[in-house]
Amino acid sequence: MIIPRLALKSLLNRGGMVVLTIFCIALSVMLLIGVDKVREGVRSSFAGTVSGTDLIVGARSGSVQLMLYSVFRIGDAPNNFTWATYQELAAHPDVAWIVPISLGDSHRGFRVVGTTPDYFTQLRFRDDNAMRFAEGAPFADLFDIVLGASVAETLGYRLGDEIVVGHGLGSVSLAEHANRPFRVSGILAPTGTPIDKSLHVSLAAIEAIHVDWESGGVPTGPGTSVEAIRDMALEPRTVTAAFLGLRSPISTFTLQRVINQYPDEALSAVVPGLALLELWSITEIIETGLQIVTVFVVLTAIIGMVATILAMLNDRRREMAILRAVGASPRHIFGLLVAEAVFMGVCGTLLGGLGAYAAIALLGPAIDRSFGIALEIAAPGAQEAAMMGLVILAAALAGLVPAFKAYRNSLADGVAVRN
Amino acid sequence: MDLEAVGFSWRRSGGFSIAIDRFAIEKGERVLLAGPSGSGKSTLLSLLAGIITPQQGRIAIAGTDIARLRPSRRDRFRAENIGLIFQSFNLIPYLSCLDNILLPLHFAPERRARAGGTEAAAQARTLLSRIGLDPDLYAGEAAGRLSVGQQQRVAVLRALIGAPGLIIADEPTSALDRAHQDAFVAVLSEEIARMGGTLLMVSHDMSLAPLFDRTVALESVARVTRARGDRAA
Ligand SMILES: Nc1ncnc2c1ncn2[C@@H]1O[C@H](COP(=O)(O)OP(=O)(O)OP(=O)(O)O)[C@@H](O)[C@H]1O
Ligand SMILES: [Mg+2]
Repeated sequence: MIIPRLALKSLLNRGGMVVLTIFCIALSVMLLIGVDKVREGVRSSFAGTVSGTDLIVGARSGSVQLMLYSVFRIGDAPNNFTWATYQELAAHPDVAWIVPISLGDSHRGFRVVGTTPDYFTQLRFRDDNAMRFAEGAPFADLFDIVLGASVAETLGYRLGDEIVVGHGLGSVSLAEHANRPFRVSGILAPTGTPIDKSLHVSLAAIEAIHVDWESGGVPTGPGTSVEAIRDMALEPRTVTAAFLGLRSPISTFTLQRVINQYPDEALSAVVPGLALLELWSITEIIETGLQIVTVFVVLTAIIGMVATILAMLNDRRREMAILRAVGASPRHIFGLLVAEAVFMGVCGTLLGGLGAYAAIALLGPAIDRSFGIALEIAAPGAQEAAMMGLVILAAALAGLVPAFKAYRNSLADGVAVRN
Repeated sequence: MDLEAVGFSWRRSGGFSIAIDRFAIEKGERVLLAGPSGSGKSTLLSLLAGIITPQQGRIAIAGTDIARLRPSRRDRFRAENIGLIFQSFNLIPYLSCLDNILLPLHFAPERRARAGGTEAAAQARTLLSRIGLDPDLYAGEAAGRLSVGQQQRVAVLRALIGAPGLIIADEPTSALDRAHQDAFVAVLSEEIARMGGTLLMVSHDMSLAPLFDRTVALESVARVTRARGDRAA
């Protein structure tokens, strides 16, 4: 067929304008696919952060809030719950394992997590991966500390280094107890989860940090010595949250009800998967907003394409008259312009798709390292194919506008085109 | 070629209309059409080529009343049977000379067959060398890069390829200087003689008249009316 060939040659001939138009469409499609990939990546990263845990327990609060502070270390717990309650949970016959966390302290902007060595063996992330030690081992001594991968990398800590942990969550703790330093006993391999940005100590160590702080005010005087602390019975009094693995998933909802109605203390138990769904229903509004914006960016690019074709149309009246003279019908002229729009749409879309994947391949590892969001480079799925198909369809439909104008012109023009 | 009781008026212009009672050209005749600017010569050619259709009347070309054809049949008829040459800018600039010459064949299968079918390109190359353009140099050259005189000669080849019965030319020499005019007319006459087609050409240049079988003044065949004061082109 001569018409598609003409369309292609005409576009190749027009150079700059066409390249820019295609580039615009490509950028917009890149954005469209990119936003979608990031959305997917965020979701699967969030979901991957709590793989293998059946229930999360904390003081009474909304399930999303509990998820956010316990798993993602975003925001603060409204309250802690007592060690007695924790022990009762641990002793429950349906519970296979339990890992407590005690939050509230920090080191140079990174959170310090009090926990048990089970933390390193029971918790799973991303498709059921277990944590791995890049160096060293879990804490054994009271003043041992285990660093997440990003903490070690950002602050340049090595095995055996001494670290001072402050009370509170400020980036610079005013009240650091320089006389009670911790020693780095282990550094975890990267997980792509908030674990990378945490420092881990034993529950007893959390108590140790808080010796002399019981009154609530800033301690005065020299403070209790390390030796004296070591001699103390550092029984934890509270924990912030606990991750539970059950013997059988069938008991999940029964146990959840039991915990939610716990008589001695106001507790909440959440099923991570369900809490995530609730979280998505909140973030969906933002995602939808973002998607609408990207759709408008695509529309803008397509309108730009129509404007370009329309602008060139007047200069091409001659060309159309020549085509009519050699026997082309107005319908051929119509087809020529639609074909040009489709070509630009297809080129832009494919280029944009390639660009998006190239960007993910290039920037993906860096994004994973700094945000813990793994962008997958799977072959384009039905979703991407549908989006790209829609963009091309939109380009074709938009191409009808200049095509119709050219059609009308070619009906109205005689052999002598008058400009 | 035979026009009978044809009436046409432009829709978009200031009421320019043209009426032709009778205008006929014999097969193989060469006719020069003359007339003042804005008198409707190009309009008449557009009617004959079937690019525009008359509101009434009969336009018979080789026995077919093209005014009665469906638009798509009319376009096909033009592709098969008529070669058109304009004043200037006859070629599509982004196509090569060869592609420009072969262009009508894409819309006219019978004409393609007459042009040798798959051999059409070879035939076009031979034609190129006959008008003084080395096919090895020019066949693949983008038409936009040719001089105006060269372009007009290539346009002749495009009009003539596959031997359509009727050649219509609208002031094809007016954009050329004297030397190129002569070259153009020589090529046109020679090729038409070879093909044995009918030629209708508009020109202001009466010095070309001896090359034609007869000269027709538009006023003698057509009545032109302008309803509201027209801004003549
Ligand atoms: N495409 C068009 N749409 C509307 N009106 C037109 C169109 N082409 C020509 N006309 C009108 O038809 C009239 C005749 O124009 P035409 O081009 O046929 O004259 P012409 O004899 O070829 O003139 P010239 O010698 O200058 O080429 C003009 O008044 C012009 O305004
Ligand atoms: Mg004219």
